Amino acid sequence: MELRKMSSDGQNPLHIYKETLIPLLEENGFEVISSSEDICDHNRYITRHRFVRQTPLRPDYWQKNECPVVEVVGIPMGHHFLIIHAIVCHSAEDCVKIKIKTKEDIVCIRRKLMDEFVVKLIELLSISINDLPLELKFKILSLLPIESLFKMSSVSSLWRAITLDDQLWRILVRQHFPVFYSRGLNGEDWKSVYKEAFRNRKLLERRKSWASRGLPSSLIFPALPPSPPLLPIMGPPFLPMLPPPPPFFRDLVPEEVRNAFPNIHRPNPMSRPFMFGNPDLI
Amino acid sequence: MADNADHIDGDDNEDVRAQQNLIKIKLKSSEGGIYECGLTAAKMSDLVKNMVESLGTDAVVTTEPIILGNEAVTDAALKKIIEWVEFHWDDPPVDHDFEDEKDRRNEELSHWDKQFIDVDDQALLFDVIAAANYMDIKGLVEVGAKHICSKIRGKSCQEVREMLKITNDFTAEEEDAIHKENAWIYAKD
Repeated sequence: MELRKMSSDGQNPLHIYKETLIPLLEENGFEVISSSEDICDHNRYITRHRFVRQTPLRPDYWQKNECPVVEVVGIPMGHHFLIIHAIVCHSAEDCVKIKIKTKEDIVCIRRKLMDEFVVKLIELLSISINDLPLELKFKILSLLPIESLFKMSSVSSLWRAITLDDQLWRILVRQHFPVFYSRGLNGEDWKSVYKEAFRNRKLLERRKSWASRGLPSSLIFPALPPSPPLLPIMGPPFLPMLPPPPPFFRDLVPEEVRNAFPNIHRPNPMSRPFMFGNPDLI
Repeated sequence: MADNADHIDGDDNEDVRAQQNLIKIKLKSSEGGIYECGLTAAKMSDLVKNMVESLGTDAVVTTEPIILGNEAVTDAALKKIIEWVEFHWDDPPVDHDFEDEKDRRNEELSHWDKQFIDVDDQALLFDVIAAANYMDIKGLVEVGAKHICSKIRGKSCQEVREMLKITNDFTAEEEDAIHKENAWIYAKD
């Protein structure tokens, strides 16, 4: 209307909205379900369209068994700018916003709309790595080297919570340090077990690397903590060597037994061993 | 057909498997698309395998398609999954023994798998992984997880966020605190 007349300088904002954005959305799987007339809001023209997009969708929409309705609002700011908002209904956080300079070349505008608006809107509605079930997130994290896992722990609060889950550390201990895993938990959590195992491995590796250069580790690391368990204990502690077996069987019998049955194992002075040709019998 | 049904239970004989793969069964996506798949290939999915075993092959082959109701099983994802199982159905069975697991973890993906899983559309990738998980195809879940890992490995936090479209909801202070907490991994002793 009035705006259209005044569009001598660059593109008409409403024209961009209607002729460029709407077809772009339609090409990318959005279907228009309603559109409202341009509304005069004081001296602004606003145009809105509602869209649905069938697929692919985020799991939270599957559960509700509904298609998200996206409301797209175009707000021309004078003749030089067009602001476009897209809001996913019932979810105020899910919105995409873009500001277009109407002076720019229409090809540039189209590309900008595609890359910075349509693509982002599709991402907002689509399944992302955040939507994978927990067991798959564990699976992915457990396949990562530990350094990358720590990077993942600071990408977002969701991923931080996942990397703090002790269930994950249990899997990690099992995969990276099976010997420690078989020892089980000893009042600690699996993350602490992992830490301990990780430190031990580092220490061992360094000692090995020094040893391979022919240097005794004790010389290189005089200030090592007294005795961190370098190797996990698998069975009962190693017993000191037993003394050589005693010469007499009776010595093996415990004192109390010997006292209770004084005659069993001691040679009885009253009885004589049987001898062929016992002199008493002769 | 009846002859094949006799062999249905866990016969690992290669010829039988090959012969069974000539039998086509129908799989139906959550979007309603119906796709054909060789029986042996389809049985790489434990979900389908259990279904076939409880229904009997004849019923499955001649009548209704098997419905994969989970929403991750979109048309596009199901097509990808069928492509994968049809390529891998005669792989030697994987021993899920723990000793091998470490080797399997470190094993690189085959060239074919790499090309297969390297799709431009991330939503499709996650749908395929979530669908494979739902259909219980361990090998494919592994391929997907490894692919994502290979993309994450060696990247900074910010690069990971950009790649996986994760929004950073930490303040700078919170991020610092987490880095400090994780410092033990880089510690020298």
